[in-house]
Amino acid sequence: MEVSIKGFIYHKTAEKYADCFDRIGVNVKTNKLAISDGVSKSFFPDIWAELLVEFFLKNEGRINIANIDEYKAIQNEWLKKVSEIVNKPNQKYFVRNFFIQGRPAAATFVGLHFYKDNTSLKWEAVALGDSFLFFIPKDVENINENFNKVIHLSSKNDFEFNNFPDFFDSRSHTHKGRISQREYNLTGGTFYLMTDALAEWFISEKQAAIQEISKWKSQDTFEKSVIQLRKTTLYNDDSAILIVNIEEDNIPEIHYKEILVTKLDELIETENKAIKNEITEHIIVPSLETVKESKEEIPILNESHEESKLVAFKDDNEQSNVDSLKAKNEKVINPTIVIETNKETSLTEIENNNKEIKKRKIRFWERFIPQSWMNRHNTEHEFKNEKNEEDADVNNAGMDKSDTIQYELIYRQDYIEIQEEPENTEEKEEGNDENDESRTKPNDDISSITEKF
Amino acid sequence: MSPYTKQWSSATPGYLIFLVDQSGTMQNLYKGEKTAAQYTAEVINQTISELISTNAAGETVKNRVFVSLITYGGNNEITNVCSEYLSYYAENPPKYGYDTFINEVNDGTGRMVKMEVKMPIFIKAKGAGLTPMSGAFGLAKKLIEGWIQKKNDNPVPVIINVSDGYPEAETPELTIIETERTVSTARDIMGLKTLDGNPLIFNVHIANNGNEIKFPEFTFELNGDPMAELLFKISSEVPIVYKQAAKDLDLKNIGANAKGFISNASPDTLLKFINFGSSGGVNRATN
Repeated sequence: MEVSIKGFIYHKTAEKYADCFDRIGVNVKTNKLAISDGVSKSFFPDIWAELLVEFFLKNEGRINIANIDEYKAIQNEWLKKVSEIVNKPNQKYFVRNFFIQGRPAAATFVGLHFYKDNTSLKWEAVALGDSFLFFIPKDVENINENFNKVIHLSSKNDFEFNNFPDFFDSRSHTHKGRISQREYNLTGGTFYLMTDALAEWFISEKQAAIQEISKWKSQDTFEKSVIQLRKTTLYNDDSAILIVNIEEDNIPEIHYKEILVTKLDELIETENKAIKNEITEHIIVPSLETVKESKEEIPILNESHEESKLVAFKDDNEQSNVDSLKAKNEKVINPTIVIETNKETSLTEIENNNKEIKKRKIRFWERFIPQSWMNRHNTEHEFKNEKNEEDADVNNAGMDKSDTIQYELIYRQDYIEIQEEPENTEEKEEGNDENDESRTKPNDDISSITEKF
Repeated sequence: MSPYTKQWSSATPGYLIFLVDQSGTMQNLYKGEKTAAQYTAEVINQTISELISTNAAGETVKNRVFVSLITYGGNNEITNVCSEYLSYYAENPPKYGYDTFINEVNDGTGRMVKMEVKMPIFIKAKGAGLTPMSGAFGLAKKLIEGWIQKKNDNPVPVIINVSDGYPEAETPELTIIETERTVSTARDIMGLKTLDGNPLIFNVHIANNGNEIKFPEFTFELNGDPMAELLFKISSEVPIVYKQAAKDLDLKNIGANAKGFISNASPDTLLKFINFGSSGGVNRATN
């Protein structure tokens, strides 16, 4: 039998490969293939799904779902990996809480195995949850009319999909639902192993789905197709598929002709590199001349969550001098801080980045502004009143007045914002309701809230 | 696409608004030694923690829902306690700190170790003054209008209103006006349109008196209680996906025209109802 395998995987819309909880895998040495879908509401389901696939693929011989010791070994491995993450210093409270509360990971699973029994080739498969295996024999031409001839395997009794699939549990001795297992003689045809979103679409579209799948020649064509399908008939969920074509060639052995299976870890690595490159491409290093000529082009004046910007500052250890900088008109600022967007970034990440940037900006501007300016009160009224008195300082610093006003405005704005930001204390005392700043009237709040949408 | 089928996702976040009555009567005992205000705050804090749990991807939390916590009570005080995407609640110190306790857990190597559990307090119990419900709905309406302007293709916004009473102002005359405003504002909200349908309002009236009425379909089920009829009027019909959520939460097999309203809800039902309202419906969104 000649076997060709294609496997593709794609994350939810607006998320990343790193967020994808589906896993696929093939091991030609053990003649095993597997697919798993980590249930996103569970705790570190990606690690669990990966371990289920990994353990299934590496074990030689017939599938033995009654092997409790092996199941425990997988669970122990999950617990070990998750413990390492949970016990990292400064781990977030909710991660620790979920671990302490004993939350498990959950994952659906389908495993397929080709083997030789005496002289005949056979296949066996095991499934739990709403991931599916379909096998379409070679002689079935149109599954719209012959869907009853399609062999399907899942632990589901129906084709209704919901949020509560059966699953393997990373902590409990028992799993949810009943594991399905079957074996057949191996004949020509095509296996499709797929996670729930694609399975539901496949069941709904039948022959049209087969035709669409036949166009999936690469990860790229798969992704493009999935993106299009999500506009109409495919749910926005992680999507993974293994397509296994069996050609009868009268050779009583399994041999592999073509294997094209996407490796998720490589996609994640490429994704991370792309993010890094994207950041690098957005490095904008302002020369002093740029700052002077066009304040609109100064990146630090244009920070926003929508635009990728990099703000860079001179190294802390290097003393600068305004006159020498102006004379050289050189790029004096070494990039050290990055804000990258165009991907989902938590508000906290953005806020923390902004905060750090502001702090560095202050340190930067402090080199350009006379000390007396930094020490004074930061109100607009006082700023105007004290302005004349400080003109002398400007001249002494060797700066043009227009430059220094610009610098000061930026400095002062950031200084105020930093001073106003509360420290990130772990514990907050209970607020005094009478003075609680949140107790504002709704009209004051509406625009500040809707801006966050 | 059918209405109410849009899924909460990072690409299309949902919007959940809690309106919480903090009038004086919320200081009455409700569950054991706990007042209605205390228990309601506890349930909402748990619910947000649960939302964080179900939308956590390892060490991060997906912004699949924006949550507004709005209280009303006192001297016509409508307070935006917090309005942020879910990750903000997870990754920033909660407004009112944490409740902490110690648990023993397996550290992954088989050893049992003591670890501190920190339960965040996003909303604090409070109860004073009257019940300016119309103002709360008024704020919710403006927020939803703002949301729809930017997110019209997202799942419909959902309001969960928790109260132990009904609109109340300083005088009977003003209470009538307050009541009328509540009804008209709530109906305005239910008349707003998104591509996923009209915004949903689910009301729960809490009282531990044993006269619980869940998801009524008709006013005659309310035993002639005019105030229950008022909240019935301003409650949305339960969409199919939410009916499944109610069923899964063991609330009730609810009827075809059932409204998202519970009268005289017990503490146990309040917890389930808030889980129901904050579920985003049972579709395959978060599988």
